[in-house]
This record gives sequence, C-alpha cells and structure tokens, in this order.
Amino acid sequence: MFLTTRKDIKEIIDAAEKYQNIGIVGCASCASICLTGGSAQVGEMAQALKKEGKNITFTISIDEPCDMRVLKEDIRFIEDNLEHTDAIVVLSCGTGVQTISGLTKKKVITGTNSKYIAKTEHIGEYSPLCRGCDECRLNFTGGVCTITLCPKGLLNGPCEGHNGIKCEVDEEANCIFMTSYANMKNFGEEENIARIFSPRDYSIKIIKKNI
Amino acid sequence: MNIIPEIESPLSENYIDFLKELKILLNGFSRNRTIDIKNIIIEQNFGFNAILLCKLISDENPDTAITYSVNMRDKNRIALFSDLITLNQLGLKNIIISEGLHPVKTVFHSAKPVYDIDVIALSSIIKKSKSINHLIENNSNNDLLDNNVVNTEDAAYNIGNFNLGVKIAASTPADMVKIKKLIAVGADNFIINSFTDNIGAIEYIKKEHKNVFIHINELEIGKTFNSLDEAYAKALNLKADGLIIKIVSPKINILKKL
Ligand code: SF4
Ligand code: SF4
Repeated sequence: MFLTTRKDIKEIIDAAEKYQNIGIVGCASCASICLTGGSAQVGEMAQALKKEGKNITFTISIDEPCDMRVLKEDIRFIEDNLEHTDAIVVLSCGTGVQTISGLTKKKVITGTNSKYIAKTEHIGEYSPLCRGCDECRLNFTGGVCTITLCPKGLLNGPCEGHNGIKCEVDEEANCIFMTSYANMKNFGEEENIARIFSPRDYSIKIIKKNI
Repeated sequence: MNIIPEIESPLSENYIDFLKELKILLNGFSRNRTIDIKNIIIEQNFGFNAILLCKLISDENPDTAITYSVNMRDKNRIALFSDLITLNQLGLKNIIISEGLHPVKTVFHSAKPVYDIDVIALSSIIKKSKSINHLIENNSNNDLLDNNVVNTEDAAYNIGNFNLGVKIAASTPADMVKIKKLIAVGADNFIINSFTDNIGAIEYIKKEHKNVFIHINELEIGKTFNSLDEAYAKALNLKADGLIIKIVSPKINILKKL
C-alpha cells in the first residue's frame, strides 16, 4: 500500500484560490485505507470547499486512479461535469494525481502528501517497508530493507551511532542491522552476512518519462 | 600510547587565531607531560575547510601527524574522490572516515543527508584504487577492481597508500561483522566510541595486526571519567594504540587545563 497523509486544508484552499468550479476525485484503494482519499474524505473536502464559496461540479471515488485503464472507464461517468470544471482536487498519491492530470489536461490540486510503500497494521497504523529503490536487496539482507529502515540507508552494516540496540536517529526503533544480522544468522546465510555491497547505482533511477 | 586531540574545523573564528591556539595546544601539552601529542585529527563538519587546515597545520608542525576526518553524510562519491585527490597531492595520507551523525541530530535538521556511499564501500575503493582512473572505475562496479598497476610517470596521479581509519561501533555481533568486512577491505585503524562492551572486538582487531583507538569526548572527563588520567589508564588497559579526545573548543579544553 502506498502511504499518504492529508495536506493541511489551507494549502488546498490556497491552491484552489483562482478556480471557482471544482471537482473532487478520491482513491478507493491505498488512499482510502490511509483515510486520506476514501469517500468520507471526499465528502469532507467537498464541504470544506463549499464553505470557501466554491462550486463543486462533481465528486467521485475511483478504484485505482493510478491505473489508466480504470481511470478511462470511470471518468466517463463525469465527462459532462468535467467540461464545467476549472480544477480537480485529487485525494490520492502523487501517481494518481499525475495520471488524472495527464488524462483530463485539467488543473489538478493534490490533497495529500505521498510518503512510502508501507504495511498496514490496522487502519491508522502503518509501517514503511520499501522505498522502491529499483534494485531490491531483500534476498541478501535477511528479508528486511536497510535502505528504508535505516535512516541513513546504509547497505553494509550499522553506523557508529547505535547504542547496542536502538537506532541513533530514531531512538524508539531498533537499529535495523541488528534484525538483518539476526535473520541471516537464523537462516544460516553466512555468505550474505559477509557480503559487501558496492555503492548504489543511482543511474538506474533516471527512468523513462512517459507522461 | 598516544593521546590524540580531534578538533572540528572552526566555524566563525579567524583561522589564524585557531592555528595559534593549536600550536599552543601541541607544544604546551607535550612540554608538561610524558605523553607527547604527535598526532592531531581535524574533522570536517560545518566550518572552515578541513583539508586546507590540515595543510596549514602540517606546514607549521612538520613533526606532527595530521589526519583528515570526514563523514559520509555531507559528501557524495564525487566530492569524496575530490578530497582524496586533494589529500594525495598535498601529501596528506592519513584519513578517518565515518558514516556521520544524521542531520536531524544536528542544527541542520532539514539538510538532505547524502550517504551516497558507506564506510565499507569507500574503504574498499580507497584501498583498491591505485590511481584516479581506478577511483572512477571502482565507483559503481559490482566487483571492485584490485588493480595494482601504477602510473609511475605522475606521482600525483597515483592515489594509493592512504593510512585509513574508520569510526565504528563495537558492541554487537553486527558490529563485529562490519569490523571483519573492514579488515577484509584493508582498513588500517579502528576508532571505537566506547570503553565498554568491546573487548572481543579489540582483541580481534589487534590479532589482525590493526590499530585500535578509543574515542571519547572531552566533556566526558569529570563525568564518565574522574580525570583524563583515568581515561588514559583505561585505554592503556585495553591495549589500545591511542586515546582520541574530541576537543569541543581548542581555546579552553581538557588538554590545556592539565
Ligand atoms: S531493497 Fe528495500 S527499497 Fe529497494 S525494492 Fe527492496 S524493499 Fe524496496
Ligand atoms: S543506528 Fe542502525 S538503523 Fe540507525 S542510522 Fe545507524 S545504522 Fe541506520
């Protein structure tokens, strides 16, 4: 699940200042689980913008606004309303926002901050587990991601700052290299324990743009 | 066993005054005690350029070993290689590298942490690269090149022979693994940040014929240790090769109070 958090309503109102007729799109997938873009949040957003004197042209929850196939299907329900819409407030991750922008060619206003790929413990409790580094090392690290869970994103072992258990940066969390080591030891992966990773190759992150 | 002051390059102070203070520190201390200061570490943090300072100190104190200390937080591989090339050309061959305190733990909370390369990968590159070309080739290779062919025509081009120190924790099995990796890639000196929980690591490092230094902050004297002598005796007892004392201010510091 891609974790998002809600933006301050003031930022959204400021971004919408020049626009009178506003549509609102929610995401019924990840953003709904995070309580940032479900139908309840879409309703709240409509109320907040109405209070600012805006005319709400439509509200819709789309299953996966980041999936162009789904988006094209669902957008047909609001095609007529879109014509009279100046801007769309999108309550999804940044991918959904940009997908909608690309398809509708309308001004889009994001209502969330996109964080990272996370595990859902309960509704309202999420743990970041992946940053999408494009070169997954989980096969060699005891199944825990040191790029995401070490605030320094180190690859080859703990920094000099931990206190034996806890992380130098996030004192409530354990240093992830302790878990990584314990897991590899448990799995008998001596070759992974001794493995030395070369520096990360950031060139692979220069991805082909197709917007 | 040496006592080695570690001093951050100064922030706002005039560097000429700073150098004068350092000279007093170096000369004064060696007069008063049986333990000479033969080494000094200049740490790059936010402040005056530490390599430039190392060069100025080394010119003024030819008998003192100067070590440049840098972290992985502030520089990417390009900037670190530039440091190596500069140090090499200036004849400064002692370097200490550390991952470095995360920006959120400093006054620069919002700064982007770099950590482009970690201490083990950089150690490996430093020890395996004999020329600037090797630095470039090794910067992203999966199998780091171990190329011993040296360009004999241009001494400045030859980048090898750094005396490499690494700051490490040494209290857990995961630290021990890191120590073993660092020994495998050729690190020379290990700087450990605690007196406790590290006996196994120290013994291991010494057995591998590498040097161990204990690192303390001068503010710990009077708190964790009653006196500098007590800290010194403890380090000696651990068979450490040196006691590194981080000096918070070169003007009023533990060494000058003695
Ligand atoms: S290594 Fe970590 S950040 Fe990279 S893909 Fe795997 S889990 Fe995600
Ligand atoms: S203590 Fe561990 S998890 Fe925290 S920054 Fe250092 S290496 Fe990373």
